[in-house]
Amino acid sequence: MDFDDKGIGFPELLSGMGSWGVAVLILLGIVLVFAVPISMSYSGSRGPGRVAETLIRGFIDVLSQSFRRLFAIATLTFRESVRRKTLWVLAVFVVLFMFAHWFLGAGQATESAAKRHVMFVMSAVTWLLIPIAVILACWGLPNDIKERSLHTVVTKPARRAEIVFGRILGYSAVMTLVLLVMGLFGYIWLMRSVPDSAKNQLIARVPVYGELTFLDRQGVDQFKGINVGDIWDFRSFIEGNSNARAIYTFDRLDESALNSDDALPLEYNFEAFRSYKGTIGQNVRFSFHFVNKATGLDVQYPAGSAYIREYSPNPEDTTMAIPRVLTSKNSLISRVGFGEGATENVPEEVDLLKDMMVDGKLRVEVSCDDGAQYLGMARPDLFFRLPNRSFFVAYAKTFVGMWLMLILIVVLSTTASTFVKGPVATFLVATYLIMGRLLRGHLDELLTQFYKDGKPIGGGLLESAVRLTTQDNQLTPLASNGFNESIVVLDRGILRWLNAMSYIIPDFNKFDGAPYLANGFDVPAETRIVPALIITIGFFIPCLFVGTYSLMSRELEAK
Amino acid sequence: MSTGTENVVEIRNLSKDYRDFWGRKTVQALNSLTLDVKKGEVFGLLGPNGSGKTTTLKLLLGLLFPSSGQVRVLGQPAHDVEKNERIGYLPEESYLYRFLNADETLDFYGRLFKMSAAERRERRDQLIEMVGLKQARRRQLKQYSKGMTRRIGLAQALINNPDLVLLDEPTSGLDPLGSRDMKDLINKLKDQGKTVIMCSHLLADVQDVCDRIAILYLGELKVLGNVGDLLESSEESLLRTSQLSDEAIRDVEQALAKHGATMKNVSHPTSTLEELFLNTIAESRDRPGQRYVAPQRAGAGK
Repeated sequence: MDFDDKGIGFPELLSGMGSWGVAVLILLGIVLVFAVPISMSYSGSRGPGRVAETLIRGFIDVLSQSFRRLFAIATLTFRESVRRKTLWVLAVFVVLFMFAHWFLGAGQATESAAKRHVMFVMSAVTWLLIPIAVILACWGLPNDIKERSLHTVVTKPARRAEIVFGRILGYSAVMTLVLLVMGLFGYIWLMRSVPDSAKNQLIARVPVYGELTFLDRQGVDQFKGINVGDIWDFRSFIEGNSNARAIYTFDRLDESALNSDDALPLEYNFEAFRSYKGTIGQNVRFSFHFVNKATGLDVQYPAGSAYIREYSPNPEDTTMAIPRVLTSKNSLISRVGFGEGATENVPEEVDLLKDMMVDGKLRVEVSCDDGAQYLGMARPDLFFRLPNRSFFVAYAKTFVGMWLMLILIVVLSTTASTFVKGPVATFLVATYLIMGRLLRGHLDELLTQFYKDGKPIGGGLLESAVRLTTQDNQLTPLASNGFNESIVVLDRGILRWLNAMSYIIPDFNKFDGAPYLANGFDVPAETRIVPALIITIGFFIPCLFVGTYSLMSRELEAK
Repeated sequence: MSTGTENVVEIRNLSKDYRDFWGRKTVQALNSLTLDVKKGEVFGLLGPNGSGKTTTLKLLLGLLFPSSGQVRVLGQPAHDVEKNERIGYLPEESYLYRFLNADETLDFYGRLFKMSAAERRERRDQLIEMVGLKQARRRQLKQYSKGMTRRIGLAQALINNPDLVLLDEPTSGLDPLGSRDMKDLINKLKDQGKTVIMCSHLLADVQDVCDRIAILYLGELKVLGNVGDLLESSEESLLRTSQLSDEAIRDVEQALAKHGATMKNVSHPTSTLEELFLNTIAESRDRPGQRYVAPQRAGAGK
């Protein structure tokens, strides 16, 4: 996982809202397609009128909720969960932690001790609470209907929307309480169990990432570097001892990035590809060049080359503090004769934040200094570090993400439980979770990498099946016949269906801040908390309507 | 208090079919039922099991949807939520939340109405006292006996001081004392001007408290009217006197013959088993030490 995924800006929010609106309209269309014929089968020509009346009544129901009744139903749900011994999960949690050191090797100061401990806390909390949230919320309402205790509620002035929303609030309150206790316990456990030697890994770095482009060996601008034959093309490579450079452009740098020594901490994680063995025990060399294209200034730091440090778990080992003011004593200052106003004069010292910024952007070029060796890098491999944030705050943010995920699960489960019984609702939500958490990446990959312009590259699912049986090459056009044409049409249908699914299956990974925390990064609100909050609200609103309509349109007496 | 002319419930051609998963009709529970219930009366729905009594109540409450016909309760359609502000419902079984205690139960249901905390507290204490659960108010309902559950069920039905009370088999599961209390309560509700609709197959209970009844059979209305009118036999007269001697009976017989009437039966009136039971319990409370002593058999002890 990389840690530089882009946050949500206003344009993304607008486009997301548009997609949300379309998805809601499609949902309404699907409801009408089923509801109108069913209603007509019962009520004849009055069927469509009844559906319209129910839709209007449901809308009024959702908008006329009373806080008092919501609170009453939420409190009832909370009491129900607590008295049904939900809180016993805390005992399981404590027992798990009591024996955690057996398999975590607590006390052993291995290189990734902190990461392992943090991931253990997060995994334990997530995988204990997700099943509880699903089971509680999927079975509560169906049990209430089965035992008919709901009769005594719906024959009072309680609205169907209040029953759905009240249940959601109640289960969310239970989850919040359990999560809070687990969170505090987990934090204390981390502070006590992570070996002292690994405690410096419990940090919350705040990276400032730049945009990455390349220069090839002739010094010509390129979007990508060299592919050294690795299937995973995450990193692009530059050739050593040539004009090839990786160019990072940072546009969010100001004096707030300076540390107490008036320096800009720059962290790098480059990968080497060696075309010969080189010197044993010596890493590949590189250097940074701060370049002002307007004045032609090129400041190399450090003056000599630095060595990359692959696989180092300690971020401080791969962080270089670049003094704000670079002088000819600690760097090589030169002027390349391009740019208007360039003169032959080479200054004695250069202020990075004043002399090297062009339109608020700082250009950092990385060169590989060993001939015939290659240096690979991706966008998140070089970043300036703002002052570290509190680990506790980052830890709390991870729990906020987890909390939002549990609320979303409660929302989905409660909604499912309004129209199907407990076991079916559980199965439905579990499928949703697997699709949204474990298979989401695969789904996105299918939609973005294997489909271009609405057409599957190399054939879709069915076309691939046909090619397997006919042993046709993917580049060979399919024989033109009715069967193959219908296969292509069906493949497009599957693509559209997958595309639609990607809108109605939430990306649960957006709620997961644990990898950031475990790898020593702050959990960025704009890429984790805000999207998670938007997704939760985006699902909550239609789910509340679906749940309300579902309870309104079913006979609660009928089993 | 006399009954008014305002209709609290209006049912017109109400039918209800139960269907299977595929929408095929399996049972017709109610067939073209038409009746009104007036304000302030105690109305009984009678019928054997499966006659449609409970279905009718559930249609009034909006728990079931009519297949055809119309229902208006307190002037509103049955599915209207607002009307529930003025309704109290005691289900056949007391389907309450078993993990709550009596206080919590009444507080929860009270919160669903527009009642302040002080009102809820006052009403809760009053109802718990009324249904005789003061000693058990802090126990979870899962520890209650069936009779106690019925009592708390009744209390929740009355939490909002409703204008219309729907009681499904109100005396089911109650001992004779509880049953008597329930009937007294129904009469009290009637005196307060409330409308009560109850369904039961215990005919004596219905006769004791109802002003009007409807008898349903296989979903169809068979009889509807005032209890007194329906039970009155206009072709016979009943004369009740102090104890008569044989001579006096003969004189009465002669006097009746003079007017062309015949005496059909002369007997001593008997009490009902319910009266005997209630008197015994009342006496036992007044004189706790008294016990039943078996009469001695002749020759015993020789």
